[in-house]
Amino acid sequence: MSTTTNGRSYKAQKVIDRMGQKLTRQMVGSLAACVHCGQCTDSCHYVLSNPGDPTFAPAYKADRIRKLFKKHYDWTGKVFPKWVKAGTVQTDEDLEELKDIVFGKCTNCRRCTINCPMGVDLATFNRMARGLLCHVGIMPEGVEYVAKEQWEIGNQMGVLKEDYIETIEWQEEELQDEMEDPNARIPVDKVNSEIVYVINPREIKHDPRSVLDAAKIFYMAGADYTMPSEGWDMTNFGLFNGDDELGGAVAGRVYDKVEELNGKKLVISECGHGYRSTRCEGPNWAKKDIAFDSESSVITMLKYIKEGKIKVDKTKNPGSYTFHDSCNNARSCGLTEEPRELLSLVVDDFREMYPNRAENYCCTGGGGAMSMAEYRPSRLKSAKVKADQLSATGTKTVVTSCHNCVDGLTDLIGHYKLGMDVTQLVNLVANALVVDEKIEENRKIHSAETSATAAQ
Amino acid sequence: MEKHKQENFHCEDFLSDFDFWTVDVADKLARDSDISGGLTESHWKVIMYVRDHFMKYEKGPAVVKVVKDCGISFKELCDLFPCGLVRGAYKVAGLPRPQGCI
Amino acid sequence: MSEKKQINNSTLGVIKADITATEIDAFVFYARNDLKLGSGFGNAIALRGGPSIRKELENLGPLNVTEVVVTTAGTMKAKNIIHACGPKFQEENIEEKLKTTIQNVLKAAEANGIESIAFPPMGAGFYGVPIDLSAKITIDSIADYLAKGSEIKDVVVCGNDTREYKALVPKLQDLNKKAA
Repeated sequence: MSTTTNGRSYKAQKVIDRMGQKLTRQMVGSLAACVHCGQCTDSCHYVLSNPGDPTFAPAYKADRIRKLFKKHYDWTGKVFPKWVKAGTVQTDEDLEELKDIVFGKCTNCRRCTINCPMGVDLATFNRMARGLLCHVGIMPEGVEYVAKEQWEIGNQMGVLKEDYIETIEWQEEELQDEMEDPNARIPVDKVNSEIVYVINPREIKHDPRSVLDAAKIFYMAGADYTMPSEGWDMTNFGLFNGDDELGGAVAGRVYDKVEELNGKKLVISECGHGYRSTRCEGPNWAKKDIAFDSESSVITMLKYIKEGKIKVDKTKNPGSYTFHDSCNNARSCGLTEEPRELLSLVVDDFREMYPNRAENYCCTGGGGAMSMAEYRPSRLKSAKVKADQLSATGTKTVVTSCHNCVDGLTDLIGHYKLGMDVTQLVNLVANALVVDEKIEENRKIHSAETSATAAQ
Repeated sequence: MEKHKQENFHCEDFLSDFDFWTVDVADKLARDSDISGGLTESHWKVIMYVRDHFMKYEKGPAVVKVVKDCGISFKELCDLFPCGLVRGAYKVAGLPRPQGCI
Repeated sequence: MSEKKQINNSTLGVIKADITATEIDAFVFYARNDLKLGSGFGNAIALRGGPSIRKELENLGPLNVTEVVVTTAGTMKAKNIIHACGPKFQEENIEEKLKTTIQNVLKAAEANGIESIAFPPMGAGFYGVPIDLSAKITIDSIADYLAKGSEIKDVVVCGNDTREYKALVPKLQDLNKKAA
């Protein structure tokens, strides 16, 4: 291990130097403002599931990062370091320890943030701390693996372009079979479309049902849409590993492709962190002005029903349902009412879970936690509060608008043997579709448009 | 359109060591993965395909490859492995938990 | 998208393309010290090239930073892969190490009769070398090497996306200015 003149390891020094470049006004406000009142403690699912362990408390975790700020970047730490608990990192082991806190003990869900009377946004500087560590190559192996896939292949599951195209073509065949229409298409790279539809690579790699379901809805609605051949991954590991460069590169690829195709609107499939990254954070990371509109597919589907473009019959979805708000959708982007409105249109028996909306608990797999195998036992233990919350609803199925939550919830439902199913709105809407005369019109429009495009 | 089953995935953990896998282990993993009635020839075709792919590429195959190379439909795959490709087929085939949002 | 420039008997160009799908004598893979292919381009090499490449690599590592090894490219469009162990994550003397790595790649190419090579912007992206710095060092080091005369006919630097491509183009154009 190489060291610097002050005896600090080379990497530890780099982390401290980098912090100075990454501190924003919001972060400094959050780092300075904590009065250790303890209100955050009971808001954190890690604390609630591990009541005997104070190291899970948000203020405790925040102090591991705060001490560096106090020591190196805040005047109070220079004048009375002991009072403000200023401290530093000396060795690579110190950095490893910090890694286990910022990656392993927080999902950046921001529930403590909205419960903090001082407005301390732990998730924002926890993300920064992750970025500082990644900058010097210290990160969980799973994070390393996924970040490299996304940097180099262009999507976080390493799906090659030929496999993506083959999957879309396969789903197009399925669409034709189910709709009994040989002209039904899933257009790729169609220029001047009203909608460019981007997805999570999980839909291609592992479970393409949501691609087919979305295609059915677009088909029935007579939508003028396309899927892009590149820049199709709207997820963004930059949000999780704190690497703004990655965040900008990934979001930039999506934006560049929409511009190249001259698409009017970007529609983002149901994925919480992808929605936040692509719609909210991406333009800043990519340093780019976005000339086109963007929305969640939840809103697109809701509009189709309200405008009569598609018809649904909720009796096609029997059973009882609850709704899980994704942290990124609800707390960070305010997408809380539209999914409920849509869900109520496609199922009969919808029961809220409590707490809900911006106060909902994390699926416990957020912030990239699903990719960090080493913290899995601790993650599942910390899912106790979520498991209790789910089973209290007495429902059979939990609906969520986030692919990451699907996997997080599936894991904890298995672990706590809750016997519940997990599904997404797109599946329920597609399943509830009914055909009437107006819809037949739309189908004809779709067929005419796509065969005209195919003929070009 | 009734083919949409709401039962998605509800299973426990993956094998951590690919070489620890045996036919008996596969049987146990199958029971953990909601496969009732034991592994059939159709299961084995998928399992061996997935294992072979992992040995060659150190990664599980994309669903499109499984469906096309094993000559089954996605519905058939889900009927064989009710927990889906990853938590069903990958797991019973002894693959480690894949990286990413899984 | 592409742009190129003549240097002595060779050309140096910039393209926007997937480096692991390029039809070329050899492309450069920014390798780990243990030569494990890993994810990203390594994953593309495994999937598109087949298992023979991993077999070849088994007895060639580990490498020190700046060292390179050459393998075949299995079933890929390229004939060879030059696995180059460049510096990673802000390690010390990163610029010098990058230059040496690039020179070692070009030397290995000549020794193996390779006439066309594709480089990525070395160390950019996952390994954290800022794209502008990487673009400058990659283009300048290759240009300096070719200026001394080389058997290598064509070198391209491959931008993975528009962002990388746009960072590479001005560095190539700067060479023209220097030459003038």
